[in-house]
Amino acid sequence: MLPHKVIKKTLRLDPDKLAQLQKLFNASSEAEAVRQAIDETLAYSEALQAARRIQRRGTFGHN
Amino acid sequence: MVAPQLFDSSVLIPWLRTRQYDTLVTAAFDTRRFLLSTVVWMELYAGTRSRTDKQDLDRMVTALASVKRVVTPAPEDFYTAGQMVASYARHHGQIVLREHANDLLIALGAWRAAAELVTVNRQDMERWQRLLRRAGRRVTLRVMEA
Repeated sequence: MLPHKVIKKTLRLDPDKLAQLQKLFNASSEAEAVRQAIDETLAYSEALQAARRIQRRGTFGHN
Repeated sequence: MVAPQLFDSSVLIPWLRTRQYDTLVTAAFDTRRFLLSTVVWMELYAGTRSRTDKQDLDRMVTALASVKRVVTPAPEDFYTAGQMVASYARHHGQIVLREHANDLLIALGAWRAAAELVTVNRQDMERWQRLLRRAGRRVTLRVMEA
């Protein structure tokens, strides 16, 4: 099922790379592969940013 | 396909405190290989000393969970962990389950996810790796220097 907020967008993409991406993500379609790539990239970025904030504060694990 | 990496607390706690092992952990994020075990997650929460650290850990976990990068023990993993401790105790003398349960559950999580387990805890993890291999559960270890 598609996520709640999905829009139609026209993009110019390399078809070979798109096929590679679909295989890499084992996705059911090219569109699904692009959605997964976006979701994962943003999620990992958000997770790393949160970790960086913890590191910068320097309070983790200290009494 | 490159194997995902599951980091245990012996790596992630120093990483969050002092950025030790930063190159390796950051690379796992950049390549989307990073997996988080719920057992490690519990241990990280135990290390939070401020509301803001806790909130950022929440964000980190929520983001990873949203793309299914959090692994959790299956019910039978608890059975296997108990059997591993019993097996070790029969051959080498009594050990305390609660001191080893987390390591075993983390190792089993790595096995389930076919992930490389990254640890500093060489002695314990190599022991459990050997015993798990005998039980048909092969875990790949990457041991970092403390």
